[in-house]
Amino acid sequence: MKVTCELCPKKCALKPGEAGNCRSRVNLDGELIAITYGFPCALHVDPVEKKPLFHFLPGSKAFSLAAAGCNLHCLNCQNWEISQAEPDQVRSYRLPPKQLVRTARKLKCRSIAYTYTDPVAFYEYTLDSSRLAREQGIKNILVTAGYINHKPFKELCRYTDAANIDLKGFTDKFYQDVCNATLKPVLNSLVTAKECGVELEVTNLLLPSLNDSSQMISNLCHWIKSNLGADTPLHFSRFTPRYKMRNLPPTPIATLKRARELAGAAGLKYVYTGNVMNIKWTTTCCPGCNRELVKRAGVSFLGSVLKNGACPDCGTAVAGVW
Amino acid sequence: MQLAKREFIKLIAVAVFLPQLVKFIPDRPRNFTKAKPCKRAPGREKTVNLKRIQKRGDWLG
Repeated sequence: MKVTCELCPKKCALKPGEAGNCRSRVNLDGELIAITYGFPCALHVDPVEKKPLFHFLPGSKAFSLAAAGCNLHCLNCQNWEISQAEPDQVRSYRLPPKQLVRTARKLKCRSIAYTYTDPVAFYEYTLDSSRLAREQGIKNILVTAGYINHKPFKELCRYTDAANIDLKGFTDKFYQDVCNATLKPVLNSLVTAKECGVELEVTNLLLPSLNDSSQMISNLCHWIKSNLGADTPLHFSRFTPRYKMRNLPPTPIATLKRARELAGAAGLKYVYTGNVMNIKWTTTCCPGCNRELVKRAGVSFLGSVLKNGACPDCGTAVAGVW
Repeated sequence: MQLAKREFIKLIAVAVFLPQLVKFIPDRPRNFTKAKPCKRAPGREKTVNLKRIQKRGDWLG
């Protein structure tokens, strides 16, 4: 019997034995099976700044994991070896939710990050692990493209403490051409995460000539300000040639500088730049008096002078979990 | 009276059995939001090595 997977907007209709577009959800005898549940293929202890999350427990460690497969197929994917692989072609660990939480605790990680590929593709594993982690006082972090239907995402947000959602571009055409997806569900997920009280940060990877026009960047920033708030941290990431986009050059530094200026002009308070070594561009400054508050070098935390989440000089509160 | 009784029984029968019949219409997909876990690893397994996984995943973004 055919089954329809209603987890993401692709709504794959699967014949018996067929896998969905994400490769990790299969119709086995009329039942939908998550074949990567409890079988992550990548496990690492990362600084939380690498997610990137700059306003959430800075300097802490996040136990980071991924299972093979992804419901998006971005031509520039940085982790394509696992995200675009068939789950049976990569080697996996056997790590059910209970053991996962126990391992994170053993490694003294304050949070678990569901990352690298997309937690949407290993949704049930993420949901069950998040529930257990919450019970044991460990925070949950999602690093996702947000291409998921409203109902399942809302349920996941109940157990999510922080999220970095990729807003890959600001036109449907870009999403269709580069990511094999659409824009609207991503915008809905961003709003849902915000409404659910998730500590939210947004990443925008700038691809030369594809999503780096001033108009597109400006529209994206204004949308963030009006729908998520000026306090939402925005990370502009530098692209380096990967996967099927080796024909493009890396993002010029001038483009990143222009994007930062446009975000500032749109009224966003916390704008950062990733994949570039520039301490100034990864430092959190006070929106009130411009004092440097949290210093970072790349993804390494250098120090913070925040006092109870506020600037010690002018007392302006800085959004985040400190 | 007898006719009305017979019609009523017919109506009940249709109400009970029609939904059952619809289930057997081929190619009518069943909808799922959640999937069931799988007990077997999809491919080859590797052992969790605490020392190894403590390293930063720099090859991944």
